Amino acid sequence: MERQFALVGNPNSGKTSVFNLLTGANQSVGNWPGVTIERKCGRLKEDNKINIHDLPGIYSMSPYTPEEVITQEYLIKNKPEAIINIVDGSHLERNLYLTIQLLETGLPVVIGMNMMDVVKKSGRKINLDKLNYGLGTPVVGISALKNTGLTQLISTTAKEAANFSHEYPEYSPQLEAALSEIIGVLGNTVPKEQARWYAIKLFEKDALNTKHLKLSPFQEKEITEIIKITEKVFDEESDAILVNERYELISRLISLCMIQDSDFKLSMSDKVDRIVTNRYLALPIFALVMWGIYYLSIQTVGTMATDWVNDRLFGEIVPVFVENLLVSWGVAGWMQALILDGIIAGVGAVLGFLPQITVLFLCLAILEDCGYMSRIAFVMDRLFRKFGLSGKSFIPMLIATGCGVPGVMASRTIENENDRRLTVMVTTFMPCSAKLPIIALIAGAFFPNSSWVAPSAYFIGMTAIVLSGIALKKTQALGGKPAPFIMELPSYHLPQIKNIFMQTWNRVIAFIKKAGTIILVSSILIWFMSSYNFSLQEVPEDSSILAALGRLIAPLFSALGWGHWKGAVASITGLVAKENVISTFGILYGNLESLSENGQEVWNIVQHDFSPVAAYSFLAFNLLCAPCFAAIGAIHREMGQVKWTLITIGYQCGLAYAVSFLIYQFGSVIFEQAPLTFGTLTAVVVLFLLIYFVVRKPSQKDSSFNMDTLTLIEEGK
Amino acid sequence: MATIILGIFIFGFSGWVIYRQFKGNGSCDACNLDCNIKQKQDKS
Repeated sequence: MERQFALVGNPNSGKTSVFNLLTGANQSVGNWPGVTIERKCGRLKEDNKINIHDLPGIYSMSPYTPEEVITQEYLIKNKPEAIINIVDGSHLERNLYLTIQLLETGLPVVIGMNMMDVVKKSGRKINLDKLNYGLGTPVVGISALKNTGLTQLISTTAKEAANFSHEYPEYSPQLEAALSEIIGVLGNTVPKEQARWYAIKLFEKDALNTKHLKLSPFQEKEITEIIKITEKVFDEESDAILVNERYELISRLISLCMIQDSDFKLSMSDKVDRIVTNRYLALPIFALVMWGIYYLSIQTVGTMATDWVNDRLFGEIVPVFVENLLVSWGVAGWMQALILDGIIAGVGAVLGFLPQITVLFLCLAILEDCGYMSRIAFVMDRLFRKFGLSGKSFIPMLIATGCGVPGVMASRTIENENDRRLTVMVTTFMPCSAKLPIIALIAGAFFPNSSWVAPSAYFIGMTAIVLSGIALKKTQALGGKPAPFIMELPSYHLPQIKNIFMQTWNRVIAFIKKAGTIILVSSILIWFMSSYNFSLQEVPEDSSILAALGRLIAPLFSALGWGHWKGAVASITGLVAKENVISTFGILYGNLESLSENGQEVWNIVQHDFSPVAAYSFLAFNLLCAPCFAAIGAIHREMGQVKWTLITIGYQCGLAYAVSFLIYQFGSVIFEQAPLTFGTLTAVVVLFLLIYFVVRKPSQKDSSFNMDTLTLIEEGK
Repeated sequence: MATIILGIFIFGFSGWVIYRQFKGNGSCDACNLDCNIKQKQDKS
């Protein structure tokens, strides 16, 4: 009995070459009925009983072109014994679309993967076994050019035709459910082996291929309903649903079977990462980068503009202009004082640091856009894992360099409860953008020639995080194993100018908005409280409400080197917004434009209240102590319990106090030749206590199993 | 007169800032992330 095999494939897939090789001179050429499209048929050279029908080259089995219509009609009506699908391996994705549609016909399909030599030259490999597995149909590698694989192709096709098991490519469960329902509705209307084909055609609303089906009104109504429901589920038209599903399947198949040589070659990003995320070089490189950024923005480039803004803009231009305006309007004296000595002094002090902060934002935006910042989480994972956290905990801290509120909220991504709590507790140790003016003030005013002071503020935060993590992980309440951490590293790329400027602009605008709202209101309050006494009489600031309240708490900070009421008050106002520390100084010290200069004027104003060591102690305290009210609110929301919120705030204030205490007590002895006192001895005790909490053994046993514990259990120990 | 006008403006503005802080939107000004809270705020 003669056997009929159909040869189907994309144009230029090598189908005709294969046909010519298989049939040789045993060909007959004619036209398909009704069209001028050539029809070729030939007998296999090796076996005259096998007829090969060369169908027109098509890209898909849609009902639009004559070639497609002819192919569909031949396959469905004539039902050849098998389909030999010639696939161009160098354009696999495009060719597989037709392959999947051929599999839907319910006929046996064997794929002849052609042009494998071209695939190899392009540095790719196709795993034919995996493609076989993915499609559920045999795949034979051939080369029409070299005349290889064709014998195996025919023998596999003959075998497949004899042992066909009707496997179809599977789509998503929702689509499969719809197709199953349509098949159920069709019942005996169509042959069983073609039920899926017709279900798909009906689903696609292919009238050309389904008009001959004699469906009852009930069947039509049911099928219409099924399609409508499925369209709602997918929120797409039915034909688009199928196209998407086919391409998703193709995408999965390509991932399964296609290997690129470049998968094993290092890209430029990989080469850079070999250095940047190197086990030994990563942290020093990170430290160097952050030092460079802070040095550039706060101590060199940014300082130039800040001096002008403080000296000229808010020191002369704005106050003089506003004063003249207020006087010309006949504004009352107290209102003038409120505006000039309160609002302008306070807000101007904060805005004076805008140039430095802008440069810092610009540098951070460049790092983020080029892809380096995402590496930091990966680098930190290695370090964090040593004390029980993972790189996942570093991501909130990275966000907190902008603002502590989203940084704390980002801890929600951490599944482990203990790790999440610990992350929330230490996240705000990172200097946020609001703390930058404090860093800039101290670095610029007290250490103008030192390049290490501004970057050291960042490293104080990092050190506090690492050491706190080590110590807190050893407690019973927060102990446990670190969670696994997987992240995709984006490729490095040149920073996009537009992205960098947009990011910087958004952050700068946010900074200005905050200065014009929260800082402004705080400045009004601070001015009032520093200008009036409890009887609401205008008095010198040393006799004011603020001074009285400040003197109540100032003794607490004597051990830290700044036990005067102005420093104490500034730290307290920092709870509203950290920038308030600067605005408070701006109001209380008057001519704040001098505070950012390098020179003798600095000493004339503040040397009564701060020595350099005390200033650094003040910096450390404000960096590490409780964050602003907004961040405290975020901490409370994430912790969910008042107890944990209080523990967090208490821990942060306690650590800040301890660190500032150590800095001042040891710093004054080493750098200012202060005598040894009881404070120094206490500092030694505090230092040993801190070291103990870091190095002590964990308070809970490791409950996880490893080979050693399993061996011990086996031995009955 | 100028004092009164300035007073109304300054204290009115301060009251609005404090109100926004209590309503919870104030902290969004400090944050540069385009989250759904900020999007809702921008829409309203």
